[in-house]
Parts: sequence; structure tokens; C-alpha cells
Amino acid sequence: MTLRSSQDRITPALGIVTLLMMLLGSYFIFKSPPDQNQGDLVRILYIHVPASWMYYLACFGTFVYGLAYLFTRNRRWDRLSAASSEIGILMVGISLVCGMIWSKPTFGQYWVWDDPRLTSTALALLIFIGYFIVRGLIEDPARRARVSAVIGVIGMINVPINYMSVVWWRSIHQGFTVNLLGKVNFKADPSMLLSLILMTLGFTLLFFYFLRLRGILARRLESREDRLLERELKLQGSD
Amino acid sequence: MFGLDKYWVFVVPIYVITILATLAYWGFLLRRLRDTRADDQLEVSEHDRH
Repeated sequence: MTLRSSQDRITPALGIVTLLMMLLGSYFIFKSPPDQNQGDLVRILYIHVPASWMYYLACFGTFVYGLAYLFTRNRRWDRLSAASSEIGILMVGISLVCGMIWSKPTFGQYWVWDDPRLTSTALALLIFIGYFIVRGLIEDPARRARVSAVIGVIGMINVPINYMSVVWWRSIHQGFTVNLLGKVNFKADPSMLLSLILMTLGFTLLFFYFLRLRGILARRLESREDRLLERELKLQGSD
Repeated sequence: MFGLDKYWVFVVPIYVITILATLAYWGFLLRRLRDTRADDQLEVSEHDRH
């Protein structure tokens, strides 16, 4: 017996935990002190940084699930890869908008094309959108899944380039907010780090909540598509 | 230090945009899930039949 999504208890519970974590994070965001240089503008980073990390997670999800599909040919991995990619569009979109609004009062401009971090993030958005354009163009489900998986795997190359771009090519974008390579380095008020951690946890939970919802939806759409194809084949057979 | 105007012009819109974008996507997913509920039931009954 297949568990129907209406019997699923994990997804609503995950949604409630996500909401609580976001509310807790928001409380600490507004409780934490303003930055010495940026003032209240630092509060933008509590959204921008977690959204950017979630875009990395979405890329990683698209990559891993895509790779799993290529090895196993199980369509479940294709559904999850597409779900991850769709959430990636939302996260990279939030990250870009937050970054642009933060840039204006900080750098004096909303956007500069010669900054590698900004340009490679815009490229990530294009990769995600391209992924769905290609999916929409291919009718055969197996071929669609195969081609999408390849795009997801190749698209992952952009992530380390995007992450390291602030070190490899210095431009207007600031360096690492939290250096994850080697010793963790964060020089600021502890409540700022707490806000960042809580919001990152909140965004991570949001990612998995949306992934579950989108996965259920994809499974239903897939079963509908299969039934339509089956019906079409039956009609062709009877002709 | 930036004044209150910067707070309202730059910080608040970020939160509004993030919340609206998240709610819009969540609403889109829930609406699509409601529209495809019948497919879920069919999928289960077909699975049981096999």
C-alpha cells in the first residue's frame, strides 16, 4: 500500500517547525544590535546570507538527485531534482533582490556586471530557469529526466566558482560573511551570529518543507501524465 | 550610522519581499496540491489494484 499524501504527518509538522524557527530568528534579528559601520542595513544580511546558502543547497540537491537519477533511472530522483531546482529559483531570486537593495546604500549601485559574485549568481538563476525551459521542451519523460539531470550536474560547477569568487577576484562584493574554509571566523556581536544561525536553520527547514510539498505535487503530476500517455497508447492501439 | 529613513527604505522592503515571495510560492504549491488531490487517490487505488 502506498502512503497517500493526505496521510502524511511529517510535512505539516515540518511546516510548523519551520514557521516557529523563522519567527524565533526574526525576533533575534530585530533584537540584535545595529552594525558599527552598516547600522540597521546589516539586518538585510540575515535574509540575504541564508537565502544564498539555500541556493547552494538547492544546486547541491539538483546535482545529487540528478546524479542519483542517472545511476538508478528511478524517476523519484528526477522529481526531487526538479523540485530542488524550482526552490533554487525562489532562493536565488530572494538572494539577488536582497543583495541589490543592500548594495545601493552600501556600494552606491544596485548592480555591477564586472563583479564575479553578482554575475555568477545571476548565471545560477539563468541555469535554473534554463533547466525548466528544457524540461518544458521535451515530451518523452525518460529523455526529459536524463537531459535535466545532466544540466543539474553541469550547473553545479557554478557553485564553487560563486563561493570562491570573492577570494579569487576581489571586486565590490564583501568577502566571506562566515568563512567555512579552515577555522570558522566571525568577528561580531554573538547575537548577530545567533540571528544568522537561526535564520539559516529556518531557511534550511523551509527548503525541506517546500521540497516535500513539491515532491508530492510532482508525483501526482507524473501519475497524471502516465495515465494520459497510457490512454493515448490504448487509443492508438485500438485504431 | 544610517537613519530611520534607510531602515524603512531598505530593510523593511527586504522582509516584505521575502515574506511575499515565500507566501506566493507556498500558496502556489498548496493550490496545485488541492487541484491534483484526485490524482493522488487514483495513484493509490491503481497501486493497490496491481
